[in-house]
Amino acid sequence: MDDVEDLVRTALRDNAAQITQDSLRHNAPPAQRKPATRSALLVAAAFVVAAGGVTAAVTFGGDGLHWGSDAPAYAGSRWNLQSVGGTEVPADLGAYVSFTRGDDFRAHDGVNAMTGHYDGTPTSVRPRDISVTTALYAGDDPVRKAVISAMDELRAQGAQVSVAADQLVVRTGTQEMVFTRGGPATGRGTPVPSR
Amino acid sequence: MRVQELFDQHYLGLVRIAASVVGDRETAEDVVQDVFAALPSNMDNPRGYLTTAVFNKSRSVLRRRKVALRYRVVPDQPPAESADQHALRADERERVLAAIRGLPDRQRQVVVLRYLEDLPPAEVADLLGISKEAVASSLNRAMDSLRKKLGRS
Repeated sequence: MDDVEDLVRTALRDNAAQITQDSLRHNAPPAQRKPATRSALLVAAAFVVAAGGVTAAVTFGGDGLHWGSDAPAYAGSRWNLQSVGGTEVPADLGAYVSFTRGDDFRAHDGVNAMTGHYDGTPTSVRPRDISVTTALYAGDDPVRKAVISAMDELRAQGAQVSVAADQLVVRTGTQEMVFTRGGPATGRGTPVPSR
Repeated sequence: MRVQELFDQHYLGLVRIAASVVGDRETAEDVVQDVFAALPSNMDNPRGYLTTAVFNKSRSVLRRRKVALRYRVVPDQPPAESADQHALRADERERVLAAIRGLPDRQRQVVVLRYLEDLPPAEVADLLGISKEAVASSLNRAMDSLRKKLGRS
């Protein structure tokens, strides 16, 4: 080690030593920012354009958006994730999506919970106004990471969907998730009966 | 891992890293707070992400005030008192820190991680996502540059 290395090391450490735990202004992380993404803006724009068509299928009540008699087959149920990209997802991961027959959307990707609303047709779904918890996954389980990635895509971009009996297939831009019906939907309000 | 856990583990160290780049504790804390406010939900290498993000935000701060913090040549400084190498005079320390701030980004990152965090080159490479050879090369260039700037060549 030469004298400049020693000089550099000492200067950096002396400077750092002046900053102690007690001298910090914060002892907790700040609130998480979720900046509007380009895809979210595109979804918003697409929603505005599509609004005319959608209003033919839904009515607006005092407590939100209610489906008419042609509510999507996936609405009203909670769906437990069975596979992503053809790979089986362990049940103990607890990943699911839930769509009330109103417009409440709930989901869990095994790490974070999502709550908000959704716009849907019988063949598509677009979550909106979604709040996401902020736990971080630092592991390297490829299945868990695939689930997180697929659910992130669903949240940000929406997906094409199809229902056959008790199976729901959700296709995002790059991922395919298969769910099975797990019970009634969970949401803020009780399911709204079809008219 | 929850955000609070990451914060508890790394916040102080990240503030110290940022302070070595931006020069003052208050700005350093602002930098690190900004990084924590915009964490992605999925990180393969949280420590690497945080370190790189702190360096990048610190660099932005430096760019905004580059005139004020540009390295100033201080000619013919006497050598620091050899009797106490660990208690550098404040002006000598600031002179060295200013020289470090004047390094190109990659060299500055490598120097701070190597000599402040005391990380071996392999770990520096892993944190910054570069090869060990790139770390060694950047470190050599940085030290050559610092020797010249500090009049020790």
